[in-house]
Amino acid sequence: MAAPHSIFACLALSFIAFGSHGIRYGFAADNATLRHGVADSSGVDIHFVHAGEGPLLVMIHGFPDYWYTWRDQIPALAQSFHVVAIDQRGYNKSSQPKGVENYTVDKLVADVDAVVEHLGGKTATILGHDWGGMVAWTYAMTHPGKTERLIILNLPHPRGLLRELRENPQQVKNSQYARNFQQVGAAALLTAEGISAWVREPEARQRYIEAFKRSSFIGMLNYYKANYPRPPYKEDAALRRQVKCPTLLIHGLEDKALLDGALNETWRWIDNELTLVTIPGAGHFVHRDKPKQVTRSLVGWLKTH
Amino acid sequence: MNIGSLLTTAAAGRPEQWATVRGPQRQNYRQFNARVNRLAHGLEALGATRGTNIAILMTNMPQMLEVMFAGFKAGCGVVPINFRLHPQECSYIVSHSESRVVFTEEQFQDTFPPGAGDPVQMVTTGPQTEGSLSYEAVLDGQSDLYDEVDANPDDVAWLFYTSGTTGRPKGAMLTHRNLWGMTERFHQDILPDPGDHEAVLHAAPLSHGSGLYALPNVANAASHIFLETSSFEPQRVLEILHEQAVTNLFAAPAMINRLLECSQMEHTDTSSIRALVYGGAPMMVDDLKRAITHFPNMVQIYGLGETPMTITYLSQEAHRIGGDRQEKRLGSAGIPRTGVDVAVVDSQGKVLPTGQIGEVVTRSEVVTTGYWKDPAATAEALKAGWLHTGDLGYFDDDGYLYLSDRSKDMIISGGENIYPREIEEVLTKHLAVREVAVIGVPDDRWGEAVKAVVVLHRGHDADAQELISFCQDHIASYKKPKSIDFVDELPKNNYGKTLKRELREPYWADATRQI
Repeated sequence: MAAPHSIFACLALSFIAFGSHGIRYGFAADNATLRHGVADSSGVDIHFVHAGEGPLLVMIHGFPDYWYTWRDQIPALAQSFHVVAIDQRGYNKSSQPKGVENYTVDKLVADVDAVVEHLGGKTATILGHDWGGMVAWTYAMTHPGKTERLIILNLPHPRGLLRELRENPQQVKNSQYARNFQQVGAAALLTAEGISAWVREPEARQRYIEAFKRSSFIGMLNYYKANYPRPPYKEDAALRRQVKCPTLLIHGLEDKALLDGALNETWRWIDNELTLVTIPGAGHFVHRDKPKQVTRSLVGWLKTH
Repeated sequence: MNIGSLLTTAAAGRPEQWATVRGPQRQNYRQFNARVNRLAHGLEALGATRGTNIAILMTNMPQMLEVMFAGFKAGCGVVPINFRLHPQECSYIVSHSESRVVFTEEQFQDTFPPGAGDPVQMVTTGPQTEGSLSYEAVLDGQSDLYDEVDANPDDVAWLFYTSGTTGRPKGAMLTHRNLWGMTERFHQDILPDPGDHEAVLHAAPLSHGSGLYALPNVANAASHIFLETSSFEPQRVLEILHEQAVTNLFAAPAMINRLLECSQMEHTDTSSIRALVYGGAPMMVDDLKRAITHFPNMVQIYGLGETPMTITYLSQEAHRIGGDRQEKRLGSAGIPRTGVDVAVVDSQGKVLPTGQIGEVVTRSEVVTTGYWKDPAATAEALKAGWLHTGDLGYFDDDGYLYLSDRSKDMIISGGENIYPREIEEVLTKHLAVREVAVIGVPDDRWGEAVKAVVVLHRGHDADAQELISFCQDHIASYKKPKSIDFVDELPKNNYGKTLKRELREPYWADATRQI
């Protein structure tokens, strides 16, 4: 666990680097104090950063990412929430257990629950992007009493994704990358520099490269090996549990990995209010492509739900 | 001389540049070169040293490029196999080339049934099986540093098995010198002024067209962009051209036509492309004109496996010349490549004057030294240093080469030589015609008669009489088809070339003479 002052050094660096763009990058200006913690999930350490006070809001990143992906959202959310951004297992400062069986979605959900428990939360708002979205949907389905609200960024409901994989040949083609990830030896072609290439800001990219050098590529791809749907894309009974809480679904429409057709009928699987926000001109990393717009949607929705 | 040193130099000069990109799987030149070096050591450990042939049966993926360069560096002859070939053809190539190691992937593992006493070592990117080693295991524990073998310039670097629309495939021996000559000429004629961030999209198979162009692109420290799927998805290709700011690519005319038919084409930004190189089959002038509106930087190359990518070329400028001359130029294969001799000869090998049709022959340092273990075929193709292409054509007064047909596709009707390409060009101009192949069929009166086999555009209609009259409006009457067949698609070989032999066969089954 890093000492708090080193984090301030990093944050100050990002403030200086992006200062000319205004206050949205300025953690320090918001006085949001970032703290680090580690929760024990049946022997697996789950590292997280947290800030602010109030009801718990847990943020779960996807592939290839880590807690730092939420840097533009944390300060605004921390004004009203106790915001917790975790490193999923395999990533950055969390443990990297070996074996595909250690990356099944139930274990990933248990990691989130371990963090909620660790922080003494009786309930929490759960927010996830990409694989973090898969974890968040599943958490909401399996922990209805503990999920206050659900927020999903660019990950259609798993039933919608399965349907598209069954019926939409374009989605099958666009999911080929996931098939490639399921191949033996796929991790050997991942490099820390390579999977950081999507990060546009050079300083941030450097931080990602360092974080990924600490991470397990095999672990990252185990998410795909253990959980990405395979033909014939049958719906497992576990997915038929309804989501009970208010849900906000934000989707960048330029996402090529997860086509927007999968969003159809999401409302049938949620026994509560669903808010759908589609964002043109944003891709898979919607909260990075349009950080202000996404933050505004989050803050506005959280105030009213 | 070792062609593998292209990579060593690129990695030394620009280590941080992306070398291979396939979705999120990216490695820079330092990492790519290190893996290639580890693999070169791994090859030696498997007994594949200078002079040993190694085969590759893979779809386009970064590992395939790694194997090619590791093979070059280790002084091996690399034998890339077109993955669309029939398993029997693949087995034939492995055994004919005497390859000692075969690199493949899971989906092709059944292609080579493990045989008792089989001297071939299989290496797979898939799960390790009883008869195979895993690809990563070959790299494991090896050093990142490797001094490439000091190969003789005439050592075989690449055994290029040619498609052959007839008979068994033949392995053209491409030496380090040949590939070096090809690479230099790419820099002279195709992309003379490379930028700091070149990116090549491998949309065509690496086993032939795109693999050859990987070499000059490695020399430029270009990023090699791979598609996620092994099939050609026009929509995805258009997206990637834009997303990855692709600067050059090689494509067969059929691929370009599919891009043009894609609804996304109109909205795709192709401004990053500095050279769209096409070849491998003729491109009809009307298709080409349409293509130029979307891809202003088209370059045509004419070459064969025996003289890879390097006989003549039609430059970007020649494509844009405008006016009547443009129409004519677009029907040509351009002018000889830098430092390449090209001539048109008669059946005795005598050079023919401008305007006369004969066989195209070429001589340069890019021309193969011959076919692997096939002196008879070598003697037939290489005469006094000249490679006989089997293609018919003529030069115009400006020095542009016009290809008419493969010599065996020429039709002799009533004593007149008729070149199918000319009739195909005319019929393609008809709005209803999507694709056409013109062949000769037996005819009691004329010896052979012209027949057109036509694929119509969906939703279009045209009858035989209409198309025959259309031809008569444009070309000499004796050349017009006597009959027209309508089909849903034309038979093609694995390289996308129309199989005229297959089209002719049913008509000649009862005839005594086959041309």
